[in-house]
Amino acid sequence: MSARAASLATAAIAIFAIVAAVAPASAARAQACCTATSGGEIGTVGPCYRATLTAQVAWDHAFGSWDGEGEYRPLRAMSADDVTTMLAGGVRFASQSLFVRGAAPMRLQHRAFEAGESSTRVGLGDVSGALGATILEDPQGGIDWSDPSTLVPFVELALGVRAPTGRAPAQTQDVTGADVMGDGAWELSLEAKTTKFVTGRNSITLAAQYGHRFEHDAGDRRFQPGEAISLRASWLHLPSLFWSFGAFGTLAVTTDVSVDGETVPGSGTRRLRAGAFVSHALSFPEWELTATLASDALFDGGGEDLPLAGTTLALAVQRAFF
Amino acid sequence: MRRGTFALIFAACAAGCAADTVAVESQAVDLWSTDGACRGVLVPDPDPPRTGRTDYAVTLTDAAGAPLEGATLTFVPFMPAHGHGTSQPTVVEEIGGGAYRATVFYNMVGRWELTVGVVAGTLSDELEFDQQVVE
Repeated sequence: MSARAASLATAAIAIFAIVAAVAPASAARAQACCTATSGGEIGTVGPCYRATLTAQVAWDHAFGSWDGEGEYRPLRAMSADDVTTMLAGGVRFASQSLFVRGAAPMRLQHRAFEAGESSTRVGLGDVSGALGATILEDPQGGIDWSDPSTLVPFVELALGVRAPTGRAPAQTQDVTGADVMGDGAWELSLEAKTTKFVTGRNSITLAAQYGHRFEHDAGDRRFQPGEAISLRASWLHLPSLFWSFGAFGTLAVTTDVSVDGETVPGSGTRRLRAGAFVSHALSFPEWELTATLASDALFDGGGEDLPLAGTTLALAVQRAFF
Repeated sequence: MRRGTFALIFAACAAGCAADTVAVESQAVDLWSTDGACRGVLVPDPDPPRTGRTDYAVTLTDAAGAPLEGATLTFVPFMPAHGHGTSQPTVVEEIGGGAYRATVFYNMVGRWELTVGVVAGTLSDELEFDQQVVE
């Protein structure tokens, strides 16, 4: 194999790996408290792409809830299912080192109570976007301890914003709350992410995000949501050019809320999730299909103060542009 | 490895699904109003209250312990942790002898504040109940 062919192959593997690692892991981010589990942010554009466009369909099914002490209660008398269609995309510019991305979810939500109330509603969720930069680049060949340059990882920073375009909890008009499509708050977030190819076929991604949600009206009260912090770790394995798979875990925490300026003790939330994904290049390297299965940790201590917890099954198709 | 990962997820899910329901104690409450002008006893049906419809039997007495009749009651449910109330207006009916009946529709599991405003002649006060709503 010529040097040029080898470098092209390496680049192709890297592109495939980065997108496969980033997109499913991002899909596991915790969302509004009122949704079954999560839809998530997709649309991340890998360092070697000019742009990406992704469509994802995710089904969330709720199995239980956690109370304020972290006790898990299986749902026996109500059901909650969401189907979220997400359209997302991203573009790189300035010599590929800067990027913008955005995502718009459309939600279909079903809620049913044993007492008889039942409702299915459709609506736009909270639209999000981000501006970021890749500040370090991994040579992608794996770690060679005799060569310090191989220790450099990908490092990205991103500033995100989420708009309350979905119906807020305080604006619900449905008896079951099935019409609640978003958080009801503007959010500004800062994310730091690093990905390291520990070998040519295995990468590890670690990411941390801090989000500040702004105060807003909730009926006749002023509501200040808690600060949102999430940590994510994922692993990716590349057995071939056309297939990849991996696993990820996320921990999302929110601090106590304030109502009319007074902190509500014990109102913070915590959510632990884990999942796995498999990706296949439908038409390498432009088209890729990714299936993701994720679940909340459905046991005592796996979460705290969340009314719905469950599993997510997602299928995403991505088109990459070079 | 892939097989092991999926097995772990399903094991966690199955463990959660198989867990027994944790009992929540009665949410019936007997307390004084914020300014001490009256006292209220609140008994939900079902008890504890559930998502969907919950009927409340409310018994009011004044500061001297006499039944508080002819009062106008307003119910305001609010979930402080998530910053919202409910969409359905609460219907209140006076039974007589200081007894009232109200219907509240909760849309979410968790801890709710239920503020009951009481106006009777010159008396104006609030009762603030905590309610743990189950599904």
